[in-house]
Amino acid sequence: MMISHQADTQAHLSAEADDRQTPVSSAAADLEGLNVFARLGRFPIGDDVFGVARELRCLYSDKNSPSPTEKAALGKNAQHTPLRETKLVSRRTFSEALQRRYQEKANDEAVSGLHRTAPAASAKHLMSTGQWIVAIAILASLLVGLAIAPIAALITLNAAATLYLVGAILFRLYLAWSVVDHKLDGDAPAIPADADLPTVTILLPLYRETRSLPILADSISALDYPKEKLDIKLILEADDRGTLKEAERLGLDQQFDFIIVPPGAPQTKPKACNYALAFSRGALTVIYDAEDTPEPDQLKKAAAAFASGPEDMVCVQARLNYYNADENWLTRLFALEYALWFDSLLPALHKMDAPIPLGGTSNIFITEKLRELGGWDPYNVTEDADLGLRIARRGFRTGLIDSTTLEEANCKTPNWLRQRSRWMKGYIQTWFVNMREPSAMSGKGGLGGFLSTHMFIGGTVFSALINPILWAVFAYWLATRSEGVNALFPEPLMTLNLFALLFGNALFIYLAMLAPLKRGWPALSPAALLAPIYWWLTSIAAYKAVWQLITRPWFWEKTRHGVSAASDAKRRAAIARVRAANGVIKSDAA
Amino acid sequence: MTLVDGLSWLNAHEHILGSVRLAGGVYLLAYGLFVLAQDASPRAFVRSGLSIAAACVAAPIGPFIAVATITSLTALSWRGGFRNLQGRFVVLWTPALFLFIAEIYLRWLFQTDAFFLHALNASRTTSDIPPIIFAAAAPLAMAPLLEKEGLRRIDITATALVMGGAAAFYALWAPASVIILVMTSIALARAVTSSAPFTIASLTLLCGAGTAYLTTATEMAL
Repeated sequence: MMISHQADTQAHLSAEADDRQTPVSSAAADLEGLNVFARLGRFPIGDDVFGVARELRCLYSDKNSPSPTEKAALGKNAQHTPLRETKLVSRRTFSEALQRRYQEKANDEAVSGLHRTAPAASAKHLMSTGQWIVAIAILASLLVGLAIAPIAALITLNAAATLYLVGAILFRLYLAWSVVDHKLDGDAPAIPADADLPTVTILLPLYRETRSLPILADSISALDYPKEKLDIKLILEADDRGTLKEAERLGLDQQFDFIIVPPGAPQTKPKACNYALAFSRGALTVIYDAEDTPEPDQLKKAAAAFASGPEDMVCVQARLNYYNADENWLTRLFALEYALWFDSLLPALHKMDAPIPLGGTSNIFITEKLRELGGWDPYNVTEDADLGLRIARRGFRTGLIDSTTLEEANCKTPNWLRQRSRWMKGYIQTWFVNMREPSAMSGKGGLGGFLSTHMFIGGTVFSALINPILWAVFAYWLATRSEGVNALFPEPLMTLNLFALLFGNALFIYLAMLAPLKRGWPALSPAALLAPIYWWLTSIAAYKAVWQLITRPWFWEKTRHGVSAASDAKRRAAIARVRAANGVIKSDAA
Repeated sequence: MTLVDGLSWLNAHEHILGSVRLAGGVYLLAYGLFVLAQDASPRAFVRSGLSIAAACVAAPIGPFIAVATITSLTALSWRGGFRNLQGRFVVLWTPALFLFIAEIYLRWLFQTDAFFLHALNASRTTSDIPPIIFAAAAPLAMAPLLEKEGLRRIDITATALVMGGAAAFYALWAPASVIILVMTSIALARAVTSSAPFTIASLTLLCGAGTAYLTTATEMAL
């Protein structure tokens, strides 16, 4: 099939033009369209775009005119800068030259930057020496206890687990109650005029996502934000030729910068994002995943939130949910889980100033602060939650915006288990990292912040691990009425266990049932009755996560996207729109 | 023979009539499910609701009815009609379902008839009242939504009358329940037409608990 590029205003920078060796004249006209492309915040060259040009011996130009301020800066520099040897090239060629020049340094920073500057914040080593000592001491005490007084030791274990469960139940009840009046479309700050909007870098980390790419590109094109203020980075791994080819086929190099992450361990999304961050030029930085469809005005709402928010707010999180929520029982339960988390529990955590464990996408950062924080931990497979907690630990704040990004819910159980086991593994990493300095865990949220971090990071994994054990004991007791089991449940403990069994399970199901009503999705509510099956799947994922943490701690279990029926329909429509928008048409001869 | 005498006679021969009533209840329930499986139109929804309500009257098996009703509504939702309505219906029923499950488990665990919902065990009558009240209140409460979905007002009224009549029939054994029925209907109507999910939840829980408590108190007083 022959594919041709339609002529557009960048025809003078077409592929043929890239190869020409014509030196750029120093005429002001040639500089008029210069894009300030190389604002590398963390490299020595800083803002000196002509310094970059001299080093790379090329410049990038497009139809977008620089702002008056930039024009003045460029004019001033042009008078002193010899550009005679510099070629005028396409955006992609310039980007490639830039990446070649700084690849080694950017990669080193992406992989080792956080561990070098703040080793305690990195999950490169799961446990610190102090944590090993505490863990061994607890294990030794338990073994001694089991040897000397086994019943008492088991009652102690039972009591610890029960107290945790009862605490989690009451805490969730409190959180849900605290946002009874919270509305999803509350008062939003005024959106600034286009001229006042900041430049935004959009990071799109992809790996083997040929199926999702058209939908993502279409969604990004639909964003209601001045195009000249978007710096869109399509981040691809070096061995992922398929997605690169698909991006070229869709003509995305007209609109996006292709960032190719060098090969090497760890091959994770956070490393890819760190690498791309080095080449980012936006005042704000946002991440979208491969299957994302953000609401068009999301970036404007984020800009408005930063403009009117407190000084210490360095990140805002949009809500997430699913466009294929109704596909099958698994997607319904997944959607209920997200509705409860993003529409009820996160606002409650925000209200009590607790640390916000970020979702993996649709979080918008102040770029400068993100760099100060050390970016994402490349060794943590839930780098999002970890970064959210690091933000709080460093005394900053995360805000929430009333905007939703719709994603593709996992509709196949094995795929869901892969994704969930990665999350569980990451939660364990994040909990250990944060427990190195427990006193800083609460952020500005005091005791509530401290508790929430335990409940939602460590507690999520703990609950998933402990649930099958408790159910197995319960089933065994129902079948045998064993006196041995009775001995483990003395009277006060029995009451608490009954509370957890009857009230706790009912509460968790009922909260999930109520969650979609806020979105006006009551049709999803009945699915909450199947939540216990979902909890069993979560437990399977948790045990898999523990095993993988031992055997492959940094392995990024890939979630396959673009597999749902809903995504097929979206994909077909998106391909046509994206190719048309980028001037790619099918040849009649094809 | 007065009506009260007749009812007393029926009550006294519960052990004989119980199996007949149970069979009738199961048949009506099956009929309701069959209707839902064949047709997801608004009229089928009403017919099914009536059958299920009649099943509640026929068989003193409240928990079973609660589970079966939710199952039937979920089955209907899979057919793609009235899913938002059924979602709300399930939300309304679920607290009652949980109460029944907890009650059954705790009575079995402690081998006792007296527990926090011991009204359920006080007599056949009170064991049926909570599910009946929910069944009767639901069409009234959901009337605006049902109408919006294209249901005729006469169908809704008929449904409410039959369900309300069924509940009132049972309330003969516990007159205070008539008041509770009215209060519950009003509360649920306000709750369902509200957009706040926690209002629905809290009012539903309140109504369930209040009904259980007051019917117990009435039963004991009588």
